[in-house]
Amino acid sequence: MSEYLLEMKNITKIFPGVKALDSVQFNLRAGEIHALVGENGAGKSTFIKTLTGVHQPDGGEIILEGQKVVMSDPIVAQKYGIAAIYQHAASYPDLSVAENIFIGHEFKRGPFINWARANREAKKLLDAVGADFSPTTPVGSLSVAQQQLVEIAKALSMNAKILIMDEPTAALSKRESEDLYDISRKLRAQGTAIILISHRFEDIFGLADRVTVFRDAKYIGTWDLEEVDEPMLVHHMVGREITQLFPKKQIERGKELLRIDKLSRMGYYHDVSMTVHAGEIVGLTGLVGAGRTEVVESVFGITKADSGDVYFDGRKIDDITPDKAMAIGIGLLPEDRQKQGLLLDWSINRNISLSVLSKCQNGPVLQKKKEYEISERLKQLLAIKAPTTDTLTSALSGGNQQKVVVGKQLAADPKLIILDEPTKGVDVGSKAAIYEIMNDLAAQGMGILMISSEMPEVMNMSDRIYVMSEGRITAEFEPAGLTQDVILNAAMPKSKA
Amino acid sequence: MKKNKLVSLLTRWEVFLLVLLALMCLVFNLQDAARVASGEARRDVFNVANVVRSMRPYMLYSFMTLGMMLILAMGDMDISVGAAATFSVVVLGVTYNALTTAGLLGLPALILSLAACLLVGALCGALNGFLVTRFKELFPMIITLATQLFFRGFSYLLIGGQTLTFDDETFDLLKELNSLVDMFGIKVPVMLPIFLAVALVFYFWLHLTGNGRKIFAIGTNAIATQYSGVRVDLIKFWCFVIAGLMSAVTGVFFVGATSSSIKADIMDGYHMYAIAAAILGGFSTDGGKGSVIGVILSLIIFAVMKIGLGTLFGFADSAVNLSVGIILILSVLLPNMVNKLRDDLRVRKRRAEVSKAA
Repeated sequence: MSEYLLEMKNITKIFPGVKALDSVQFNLRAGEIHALVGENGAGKSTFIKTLTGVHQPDGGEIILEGQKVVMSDPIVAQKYGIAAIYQHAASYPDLSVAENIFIGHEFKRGPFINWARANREAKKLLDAVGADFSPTTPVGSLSVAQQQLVEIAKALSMNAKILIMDEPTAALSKRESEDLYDISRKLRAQGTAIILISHRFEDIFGLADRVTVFRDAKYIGTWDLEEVDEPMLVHHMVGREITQLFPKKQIERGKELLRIDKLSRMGYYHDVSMTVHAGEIVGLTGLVGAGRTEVVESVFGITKADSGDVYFDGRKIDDITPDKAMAIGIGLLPEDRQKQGLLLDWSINRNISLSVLSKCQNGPVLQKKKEYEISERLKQLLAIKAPTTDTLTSALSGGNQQKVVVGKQLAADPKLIILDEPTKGVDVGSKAAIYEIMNDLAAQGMGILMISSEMPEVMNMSDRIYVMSEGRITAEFEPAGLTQDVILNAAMPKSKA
Repeated sequence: MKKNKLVSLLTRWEVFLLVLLALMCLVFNLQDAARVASGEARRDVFNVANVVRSMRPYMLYSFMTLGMMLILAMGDMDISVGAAATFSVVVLGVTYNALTTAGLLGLPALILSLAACLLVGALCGALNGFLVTRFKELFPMIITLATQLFFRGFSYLLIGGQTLTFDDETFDLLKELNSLVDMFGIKVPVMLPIFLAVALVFYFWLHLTGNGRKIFAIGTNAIATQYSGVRVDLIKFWCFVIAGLMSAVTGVFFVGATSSSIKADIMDGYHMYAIAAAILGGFSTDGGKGSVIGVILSLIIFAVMKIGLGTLFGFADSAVNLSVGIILILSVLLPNMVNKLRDDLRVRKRRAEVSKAA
């Protein structure tokens, strides 16, 4: 028998118009955590789907414990002991934890389901993953981190030999991520092999034993973690050297643009005050659910604050709505670019012009020429990689989609741009490009308010940093001499810390 | 690039509808030719004049279809339009009766009643629009199901089970709306040019203005559209108002077509015709697509099927309706099948390339 639990050789997969996997390799030992990395579109997801039986490869073979196997559908893969947990847990929110864990392989007593036993077994599994909630809780009432524990418990219930984690920490706070690391290490010690897909270098270097890199649907290589460092890994992923990920320039701070004064909204945030100046990049960080997104949504007029004032450019703004916000010069790049940022079925051109249609009209009639003028200019400016501005945004990579959303905001000539997790799910090459755009905008005198959970980004890009915890601003920092621990300490809920 | 443009033009839904129309004309003409060949007399029912004339019944709900287009383009649904039309004309009749009883006779009474009718239609739409934008957690389908019952209930409250009839000269003017006039040497239903004029306005609005673009944007992704600074709720509200207004217009034509008698149960199920015509015209319950040209073509297709199957083949009305149903299902399925086929072919081609290269 070979030293590997799983070997995947020369896997090729073809989709209409694109080769998603070009003869890629991957192997996995029992009891190891193996990171699979690459930029968006490198083929990681497709690869995982050929392993879990969602897609059938057009070439290559899968060898599991020395036997050649065919993953003809997801149920077969499950029987072979392969389980996957995803970033957005694919669970049934209205069903209980126990029901979610045992769905598809329930304990039967005659034609009936043995609920007592299901709940008992579920409790054991929950204990094993260190979860402290009851098996009868509806999954929809749990946090994302807790839902992932349910998914892991589900995988354990099926005696999974191989556990695939796809961006497991993307929606988790620092502390929740640490908990997940602990569980992963525990599973590894018990002999489970884990495939970890992540954009976060913290995950990879903190957890994995080996790392495999894909680029442009091709296999680049596999290394032990001791052999590689971050710049090297980045180099393999992007295929070129990224000289400086955070190209921070010093910019003269201008006049005050935005002032939020004691803004409150029941149940979301309380007594929030902050300022953003022209030419300044202000970081707003904290744990997921601390109320950061909710504050900026009220500033942009998506929701209404209960009390407090917002001043923009020296004037108090009342009854704000998104259209008014954009008219006075506030732009918002929303957190979820696919749902809130883009019309995926529409072209780059139409997406960009939607926020400035009034500028493209002659009377009520649309001037297509004017639309293209604006979108072409922004495509150039932001270096959006696409054949033409008529390309559908659904066909773009995450980073380029994000650039289109930025373009939508820039088209309206904002004075202040609010970026909510601008590099979430964006590959490292596009990250550098987005940071550079942010610096350029600040240099032109634009104010930038950046919400981010990624500490390196917050500490390296911001001129000032606000930290939120449980709906309140808990600290304000200058980045000089600041350490991650200081920020995290301010971000931790005080009741539990 | 040029080739791509040609392909995208040819794969447009309107082109498919034109082809469908041409095919139907061909089949019906061949059938007539076969009849002649077997020695029977030529029926010659299938000509432009007949098609134009037989568009008349479809013109009745064509205005409602224009309103339905707006709703479907936004990805919403309004099944109350038939009941709103009924309620509007009931108000028309009641107002006219009240005015004549009060001594106001002739044209002023009719014009005031018509104004009341259109106002009520718009108000029905405004109620829908308000509820849909205010209670986003409810499906528009459920909301308009409720308002449908509401509008029909109001109609019964006003006139109960009685039939309002009018036999004065002024009110009979409405019958003129159902008449045929001579245009270009053929008899054309008066409703047709009126419909085409209104449709032209809708075409201009939906396809050429920024506001129209926003309506399709809402149907594609309402949340992202809101984040783009579009006043989604305001646009939605007004589209529902206009859909209500178009229902009242349909109601007026209906009264003209049915010898000026008004009951509380007329135009039941009219919303279904409107939805059917809009869907065949290329609109979708998912929102974000469709075209006014497609809707005009789909109304013509209905008329052609009516003469072709009804007059030429001698099918009963029920069979004609059945065929319309089949066409509707096919028209929804066909684009999906074509897309699937195209994807399969592309994969096969790529695979051949890869294996050749290997």
